[in-house]
Amino acid sequence: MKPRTIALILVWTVPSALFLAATAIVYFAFRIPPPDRLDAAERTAVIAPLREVVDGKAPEPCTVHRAIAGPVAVTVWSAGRAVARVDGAGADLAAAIDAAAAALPRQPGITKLTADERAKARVQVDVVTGTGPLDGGNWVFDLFELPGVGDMLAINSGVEGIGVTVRSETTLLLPYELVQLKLLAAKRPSAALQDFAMGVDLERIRAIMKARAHYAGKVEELGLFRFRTETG
Amino acid sequence: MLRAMARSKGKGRPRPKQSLPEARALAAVDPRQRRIGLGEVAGGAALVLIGVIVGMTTVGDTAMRTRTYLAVFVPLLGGLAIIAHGAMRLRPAGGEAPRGDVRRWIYGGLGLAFAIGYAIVIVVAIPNRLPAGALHLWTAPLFTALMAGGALAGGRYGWWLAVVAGSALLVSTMLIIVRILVSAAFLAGVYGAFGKAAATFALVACALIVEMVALLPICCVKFMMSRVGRRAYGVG
Repeated sequence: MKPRTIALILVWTVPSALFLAATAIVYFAFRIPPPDRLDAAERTAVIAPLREVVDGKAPEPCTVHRAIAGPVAVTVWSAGRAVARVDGAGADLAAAIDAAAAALPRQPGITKLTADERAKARVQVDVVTGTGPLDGGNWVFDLFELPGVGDMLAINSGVEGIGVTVRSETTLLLPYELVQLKLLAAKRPSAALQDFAMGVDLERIRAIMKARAHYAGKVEELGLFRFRTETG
Repeated sequence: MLRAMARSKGKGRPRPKQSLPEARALAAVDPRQRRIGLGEVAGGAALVLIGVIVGMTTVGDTAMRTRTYLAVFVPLLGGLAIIAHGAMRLRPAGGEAPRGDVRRWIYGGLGLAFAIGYAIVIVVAIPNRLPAGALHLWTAPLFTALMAGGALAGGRYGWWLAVVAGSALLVSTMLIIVRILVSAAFLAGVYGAFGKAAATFALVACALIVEMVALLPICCVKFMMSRVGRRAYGVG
């Protein structure tokens, strides 16, 4: 093959291959695929042991053995407020739920509830279904991103939470907690539009994570990640 | 008759290998000139690299200063000009006098007009306060102006300057497209269907960039590299 032919082939294929490769690398690095959702019977089976704990009974072991991408977060709501929150980790969903059910009775918010409040309390379970990088973690994106995209549009607000793993223990900041703590509309990209706010406040999130994870080191060392949950 | 037609187009003649005349031409260069030429190309490349590195250090900055522009673009443009000069030393003159060609003025004029147009658009329509974005945007008018300057200047140095600046503009344009695609892929990955809508607009932006920025240097460099283009500048 002549050098000119080779050059022509390269000119027509290399740029397209480069564009395609960069797009694919970044897309698959940040995409969290949609999960196979739990059906109604499985949801009931997941909630059942936790409901029994809130009602003051000894819980039966969970029977839903499914793979999970991280810990489960259990929140107990009473009179519109979150009174208890525990995370449970395990080899599968059943083990994680059992771990959370074991930790839940020791929560001060639960022990203080009266029998009437326990009956009215609601249990929320967030099962982590997938994780993705946050604030870097993919060199192609870090090197080539347009300014502001990674900061301003770091997570899908209301759908994704932020987590950190310290000493093999994972701490989660759930999607609703990000809204509650006003961490989602923290930046003002335009000085002319002061009412226009967007973007997560990663500095504050790191500080919160450092406190929750009881981490003694510097906040910059915390490697954050995004996660999506199935909430029931 | 067919054979005669083929001969008239030079198809019937055996062609020498491309590398042989190039090797002869290189061998014909005065060793001192060759050393200087190689030094200029290496020095120019180093200057370009310095400009790129200085530009990349501004990624986290939130304010743009005049000295940042100077620190990036003086080595970048100077480096390209020196590379062109060094390349001219490395390739001896073909011995043919430049032949007039109207396309030299067309590409030069279009280049100047586009450079002015880009500068106006960047200042008026899409100002970017972040250095990482602004510096990259300004490569379009400045490299286009350099390419147009080379095309209009004529001669061997003008040819090399137009080719080097046009190629640099193409690389910069490709980088802009990669940055847009990477950001669009990020949005599509994080935001799902909503992100895909944003990514679609990003692809439209890429198509516009190809039309508005990439076509001119592609056509200009293609003309320069053709036999007619070489003759128009006396490159041989």
